[in-house]
Amino acid sequence: MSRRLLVIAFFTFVLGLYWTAESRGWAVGGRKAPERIDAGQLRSQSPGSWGYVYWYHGSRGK
Amino acid sequence: MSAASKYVFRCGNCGADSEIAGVGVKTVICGFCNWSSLRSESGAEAMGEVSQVTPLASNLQIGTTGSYAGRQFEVRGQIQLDHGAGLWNEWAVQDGGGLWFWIAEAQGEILVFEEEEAPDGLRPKDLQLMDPVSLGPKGKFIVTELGKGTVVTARGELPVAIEAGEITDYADLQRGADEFATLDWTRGDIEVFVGRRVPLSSLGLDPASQPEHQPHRIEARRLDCANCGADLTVRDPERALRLGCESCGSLLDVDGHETRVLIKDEQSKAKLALPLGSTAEIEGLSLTILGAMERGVKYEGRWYPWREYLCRTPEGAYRWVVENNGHWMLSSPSAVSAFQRSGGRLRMDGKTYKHFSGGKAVVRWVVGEFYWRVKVGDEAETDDYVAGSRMLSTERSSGEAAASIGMHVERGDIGKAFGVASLPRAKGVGPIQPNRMGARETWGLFAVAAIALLAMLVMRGVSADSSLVHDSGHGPIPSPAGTELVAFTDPFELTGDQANVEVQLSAPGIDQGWVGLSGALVEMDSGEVTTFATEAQRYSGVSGGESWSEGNRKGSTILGSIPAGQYRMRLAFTGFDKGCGSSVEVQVKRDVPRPSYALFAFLALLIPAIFVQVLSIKMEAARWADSDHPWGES
Repeated sequence: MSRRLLVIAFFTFVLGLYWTAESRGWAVGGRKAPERIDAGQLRSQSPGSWGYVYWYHGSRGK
Repeated sequence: MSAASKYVFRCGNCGADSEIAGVGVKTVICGFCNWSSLRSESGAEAMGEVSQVTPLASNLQIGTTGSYAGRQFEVRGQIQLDHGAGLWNEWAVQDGGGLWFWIAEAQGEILVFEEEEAPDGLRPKDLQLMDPVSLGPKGKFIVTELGKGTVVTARGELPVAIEAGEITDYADLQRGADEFATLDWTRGDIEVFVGRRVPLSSLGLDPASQPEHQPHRIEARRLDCANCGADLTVRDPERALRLGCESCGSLLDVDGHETRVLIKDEQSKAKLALPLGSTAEIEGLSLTILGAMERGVKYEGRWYPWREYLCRTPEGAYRWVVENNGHWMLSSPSAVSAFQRSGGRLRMDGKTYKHFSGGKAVVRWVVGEFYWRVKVGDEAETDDYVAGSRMLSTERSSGEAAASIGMHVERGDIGKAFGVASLPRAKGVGPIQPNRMGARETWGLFAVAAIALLAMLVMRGVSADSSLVHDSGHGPIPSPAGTELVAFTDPFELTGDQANVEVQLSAPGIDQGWVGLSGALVEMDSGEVTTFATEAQRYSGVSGGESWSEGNRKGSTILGSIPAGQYRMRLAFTGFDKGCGSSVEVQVKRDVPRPSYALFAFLALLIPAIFVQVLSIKMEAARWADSDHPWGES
């Protein structure tokens, strides 16, 4: 493959990556927690509920 | 064509009658007995017998007719001259109006000259090599050669007084690429001839009046080496003056059908990359190798050699195929007045040539045939100037200045053209080896990609949603420091395709304090949790008489690829210093553009362009390292 084609391929890849990252909302902030919260707990506003998040943040929840 | 009125001239030696043009004829050589007579008002003065002309291949002969620049002409006389580099012909030509001009044939070039009036004050002793000389209305010319020549013989009728064996004093001048002049002061007063190089086709020669023996019909001759007896093929027998024997290394003088040893066995028996006699078609030129020599310059005790292969075209023009460290070049003669000097640079045909190297080039060995009397040890001051894949070389030796223009030819193309399978491997970077790194092209592609990136950035800015989907206030943050304030938001909806989410924490009233937020964004249907954290802080003070401040009252984090759905957040705030007691605001935005990504992409696009540029610079540094002007040295 010629050097020119390599450069064009690289530039196309970079632009494609940029557009994909933007349009799909890629970001490094936030982490997916390894477990889900029970749907029933979500309905509650009680600080003691949402047990998993409580544990995950290390928060005392008060 | 019939020239002006004709007269009958009776030879004072043999009594034969010849029909001559009459007008302007000063010398007549009898075609029957070769007796030369000078015509004057008082009659004819006998000058004695002249030798027969050597039958050099030519496009012209006495009686050849043609039409040049609208002037019908007929060739009426011939002079053979020798300026130390073999014989050449000058033809005296008369047009239909009885006016004379000259056609010279030298090394495959055709030059048409006419006598002009010499400007006042022009003196031979003022002429210096490479100096400009004004020829009145004809303009300024450059002196390219100062020397002495010999009128070997002549025939026919001539508009000048000629004496065979006469030693002539002359200067050759050039202007631009095609204009030439000759100054001749053999008889005291300077005679000026001005003309130009023209293509053969411009002479409009009548083929029926041309000689049989034309340059493209020259046949090779076989000679024996006077030293070792080896059978030598001479491919340009009419012009070959020197022969280097491939078998014994002797250098021979060529004298007709004989050779004479000039230097015996002293030359190295060079191994030629391109065999003598081999032919090739390069850049539209049909070339036959006649001879080869090695020349070189010595610099700080080190010898820098190169090899030059002398080639002849079927038209009788000469070219050089030059090999230097495995890099090849095809070189053609150029007029020394075809370029202008500007500082250490030369300009020609819109190109600027930078000085590359110079020195005293010395001939080390010679093999094959040459049209001048070359010998081992011959010296010339040389300078090479480069512009891309072209090299302009100037040479100066005693009384003569010459120039040539060379162009790079790929090693593979030389091998293919001459049918040679293995040529010396190229070492380093050649002076005019093309820089194929493609830095310019890569920067061009980079510019296109950067413009595309900018367009994408604008498009993204226009198309991004960036809508506020949640906004809530919280506080005051409890104290003591580290105590959490936990809040749960109302459900809110994230719409559209998968996109990012920006959570922004604002503490507008904070001063000398810090607020941290640990949050969890929970999709209510699936229970999937995305945790995040951000902070806001503001500290300021005075130290050493200088006021300072740090921190930002706003903090944000962007959560990636969050699908559409119903969400709630758990927010846990903590404070430090005066962050405790402050109130905060939390905003959530959907699908915000990320300009930093465009910056990263831009930097990524720069990588190949910079990489190629560095390679290109390295190549140029390596090229110039072998020059007189290495990079980094003053």
